[in-house]
Amino acid sequence: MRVITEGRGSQLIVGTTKNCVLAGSFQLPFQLIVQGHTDELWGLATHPEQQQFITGGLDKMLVLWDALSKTAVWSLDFDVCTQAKWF
Amino acid sequence: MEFHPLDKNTIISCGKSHISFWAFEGCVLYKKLGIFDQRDKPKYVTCLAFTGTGDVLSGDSSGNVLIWARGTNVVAKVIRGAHDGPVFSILALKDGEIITGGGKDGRVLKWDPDLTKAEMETVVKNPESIHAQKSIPVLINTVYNTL
Repeated sequence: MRVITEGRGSQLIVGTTKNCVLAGSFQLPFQLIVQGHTDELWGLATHPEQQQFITGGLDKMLVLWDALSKTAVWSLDFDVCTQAKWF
Repeated sequence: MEFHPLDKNTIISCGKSHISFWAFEGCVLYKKLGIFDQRDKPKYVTCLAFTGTGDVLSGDSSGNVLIWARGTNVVAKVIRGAHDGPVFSILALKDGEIITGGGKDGRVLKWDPDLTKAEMETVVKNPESIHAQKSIPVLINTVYNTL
């Protein structure tokens, strides 16, 4: 956790050192709003038909994003750093 | 660095082992260093906040929260060991309650306005991977020249 700020009502927004933004409160558990990469980004590929793209890099994370909702569809912890991607 | 919300021409800055109270008079900035008790002197002062009465709150790398009385450079109160590891963020709510966040322990604490006790606690964890709903074929090239 790196920073806390006030959201709507009793909601708290938390930014973490792993480039994530979470929202929650003392009553509700914290939920992910935005997930970010934590190291250099080396690979990006767009899906040929769908509004999606995949990113990966030296943080060993692979994330499929939805371009319309701007959220992660899924993410995967890879064992090695990745560079290029193709669909 | 923060501007004091109530006292005009007052700026507070913090950093490595120090907190400074600046007064802007005429065209000159005067600096007053905050005086720490020897055992409370931290490696880094990490965050600042202001209470509704104008007192300054500081969080530091030792996990302590210090209250500096308004207009002074002396500690009015110390909460030792508020967090395990550094205090990374302090937030003063409009109703006077104080929220602090720890870096290492991931805890968020809600304190009463006098910071006598932590009323509520919650833990923020780094999120795990989001599981895929359906599989899609992807080619990936790694840094070890493999595909």
